[in-house]
Amino acid sequence: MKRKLKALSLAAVSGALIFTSACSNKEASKEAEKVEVGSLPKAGDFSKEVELNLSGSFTRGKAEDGNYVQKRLEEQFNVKIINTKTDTWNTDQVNLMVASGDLPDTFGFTAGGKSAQELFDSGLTRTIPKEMLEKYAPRYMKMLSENPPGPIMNLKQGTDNEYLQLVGQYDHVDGVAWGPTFRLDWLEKLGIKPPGEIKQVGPSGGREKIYFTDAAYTLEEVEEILKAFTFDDPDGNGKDDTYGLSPYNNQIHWSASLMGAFGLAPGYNFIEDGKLVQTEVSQKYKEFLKLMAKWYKMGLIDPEFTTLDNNKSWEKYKQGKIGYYIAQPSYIAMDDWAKGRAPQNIVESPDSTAKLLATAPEIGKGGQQGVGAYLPVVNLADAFYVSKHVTDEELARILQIFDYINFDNEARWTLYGEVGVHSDWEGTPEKSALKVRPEFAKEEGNSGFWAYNFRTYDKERVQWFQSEYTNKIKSEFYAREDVKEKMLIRPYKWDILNETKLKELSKRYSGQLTTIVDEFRMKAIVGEVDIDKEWDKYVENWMKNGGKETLDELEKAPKVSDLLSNK
Amino acid sequence: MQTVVQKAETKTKPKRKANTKWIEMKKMKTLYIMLAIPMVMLFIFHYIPMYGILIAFKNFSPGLGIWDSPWNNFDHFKRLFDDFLFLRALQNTVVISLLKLIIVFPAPIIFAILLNEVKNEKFKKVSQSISYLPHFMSWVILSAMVIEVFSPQRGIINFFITLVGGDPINFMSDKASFIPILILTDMWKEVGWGAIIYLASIASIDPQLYEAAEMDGAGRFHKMIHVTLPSIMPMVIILFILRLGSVLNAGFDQILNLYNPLVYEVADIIDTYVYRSGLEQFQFDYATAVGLFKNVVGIILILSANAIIRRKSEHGIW
Repeated sequence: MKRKLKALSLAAVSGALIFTSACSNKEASKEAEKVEVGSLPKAGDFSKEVELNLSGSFTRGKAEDGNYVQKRLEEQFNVKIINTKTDTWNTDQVNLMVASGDLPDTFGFTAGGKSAQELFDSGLTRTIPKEMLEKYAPRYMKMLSENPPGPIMNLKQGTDNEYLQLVGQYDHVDGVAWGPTFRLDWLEKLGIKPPGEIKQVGPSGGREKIYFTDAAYTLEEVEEILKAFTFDDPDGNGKDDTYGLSPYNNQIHWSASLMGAFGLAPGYNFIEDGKLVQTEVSQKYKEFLKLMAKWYKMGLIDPEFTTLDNNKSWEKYKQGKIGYYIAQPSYIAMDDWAKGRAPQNIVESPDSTAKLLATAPEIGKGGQQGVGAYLPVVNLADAFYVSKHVTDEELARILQIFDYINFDNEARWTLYGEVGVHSDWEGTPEKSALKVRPEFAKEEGNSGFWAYNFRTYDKERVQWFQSEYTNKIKSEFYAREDVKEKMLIRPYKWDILNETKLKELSKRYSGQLTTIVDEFRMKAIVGEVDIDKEWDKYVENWMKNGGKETLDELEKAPKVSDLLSNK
Repeated sequence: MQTVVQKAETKTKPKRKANTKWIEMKKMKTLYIMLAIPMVMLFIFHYIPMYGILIAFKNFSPGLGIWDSPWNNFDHFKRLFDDFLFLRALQNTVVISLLKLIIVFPAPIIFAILLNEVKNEKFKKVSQSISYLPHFMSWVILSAMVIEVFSPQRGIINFFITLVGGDPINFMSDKASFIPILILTDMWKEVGWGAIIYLASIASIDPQLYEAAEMDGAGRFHKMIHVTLPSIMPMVIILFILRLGSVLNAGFDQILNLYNPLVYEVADIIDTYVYRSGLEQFQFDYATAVGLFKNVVGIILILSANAIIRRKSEHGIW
């Protein structure tokens, strides 16, 4: 009986294993199929109905069946759209979806997922032939050609006409992404003059308390200001309870322009003493750390920063005890999405008497000034994939929908509906942001807005969601051509064409390297380690744990200057 | 003739036995059906997915599936033991877990015994309810409370330190104080909840044992030591063995919400390190290898502890 039971159990387990393995998908293939583009329907020929399971960059699985955008698209392109019910912003759901291989026909995840090469190698996506893009998505191809090296990015290795993914235009991050701000009311009380001429960001809504200037303080001046903020009772409460600077422990943005004054940008690389180095192991970075350690020792940095992440740091800033904070242009212009974030949260309340001054990035010893470019080479980012199961005929229709809703600005209704019916201009028509009326879902839901779109914005589209105040300060300073030219710090080399094994190495070593860097940075700033004494050991540790391999591989990548000049 | 009959008897005996068993089972078929449902569920949800363990030894590719993904020559395991940060995390995990085992594990036992001695029923119930409360709050909320309590600027502890003329201490960023805080907050969160099982065990002790002890002149303390404690000992041993099995789980939620890079040296455990270096980057295969390693260590510890305890006493899981 026992034997029989054992045999039975074994048989059951083996059966289950065989069943499960039989269910696994054996279709993974690294071969891209040859496409006869000539045999496919002409662009604009929608005579045959096609069924498509669509998902865009904003899909949270909340698009109602039969929504406004869906109906119009179905009619316009003769398609039957099946809405994706997965939340593509949820890492767990995305990873589960990828691991199961059960993907929509098109997708672009906000969270989780894998790289384009991994998805293709795993047999989950198909390539997109250049010829089909030229035929069915001409606006997209035009955008690529206007943004070098766009046309040669994301190609399948060994080909010059098969794309692994489509890419988005990121004009909303154009220009200097971060800049320093100071408590202007404190500066005034302490008798410290702002650099250059200052202008109000806007007339009301708190913006009247925020000023900006295209001039900057030097690092030495900033140090003096931080000292005054810390020791001269700038809030006038008679207590020694203010600090110059409050970093946070989970990101490095807080130092964007301070590092820029040393010619540095986090995670980027440059040539130092004739050698290719990464910022975090460079001599300049060592000097930056020494300055931060000095400021910490002087008491200018809030010691509690070690336990504050950026969200808690924003809350702390709101208490009005910190004088210096880093900000994006949209924060200063008080765009809706930036509400609650420091430093604008200090002026949000109508009763607040605080005032802010945004300046150009601090000037370092050698006149260096700037911040790391948001994107290392060109303002192209994000990924839009097409599932392996999509046929050429389906792809032809997908590309036409993609090209229309993302690159034809007449398709604004796919994001905001009809102006005057579904949405209204926040301020000056065509120059301010669009606001969806409350009876319609802002995204997905009954309206279907953003449900099928990709994250791609040219300058005109940026205006639809960015306030006119952000547009104004960007055009007057942050995204001015001469400012970009002078102040954007780009890496020396970057593997934007996926020609090296850097992605693989990053996957393997990034956890180790980030831990080593974060730990040393914090210890160095709070004085737990002597930077001069421990520096060599730290660099050696970084090199030994994947850093050297990464730098060696990086040597094989093209120079950013060559990529930008289209060489 | 006799031998033929005997042979026939021996042949029919087991059949008869089987028949009797079958009849018995038929009689209790409702119970067996009730048992079958969880058994099937156990098989489907706990045994079939074990097939997925294979990806710990493979470079998992979703498109290829589990079986067709290529074997990787134990690469994930080699990677684990080549990584000094993983080894540090392993050491931290064991240290924190053992400290929790030594300090936190006995706390609910002591709490349950002491609570049992409280005569005022109302006070007993209120204390018990209050002690459960932290268990129902997630570490995301509790961590904010803990950080506030220990804050160098707003925290109550530092308030008293500064009141007596001392300098504020950044407890949460101090290697020396971080681990004691972990242990204490874990104890605070779980002591009430953990005591429930011991209170139930104490409630089932035969009152005659206490009466007999009283007749022998035992006071409350002696009854506690000589009646209550030995009576709940089998439960303590079972829970201890089971706790040993999860010695490589040192409290992911708690640490992830409380730690920062300044205390990585003592507080970065396997789960937090793998979370940062593996799971965030879709490395399911690597994370499975770590999980398998943890489970193998856990099962070895459970089996060895059970064997040792069995040898010394009659208690144990098997």
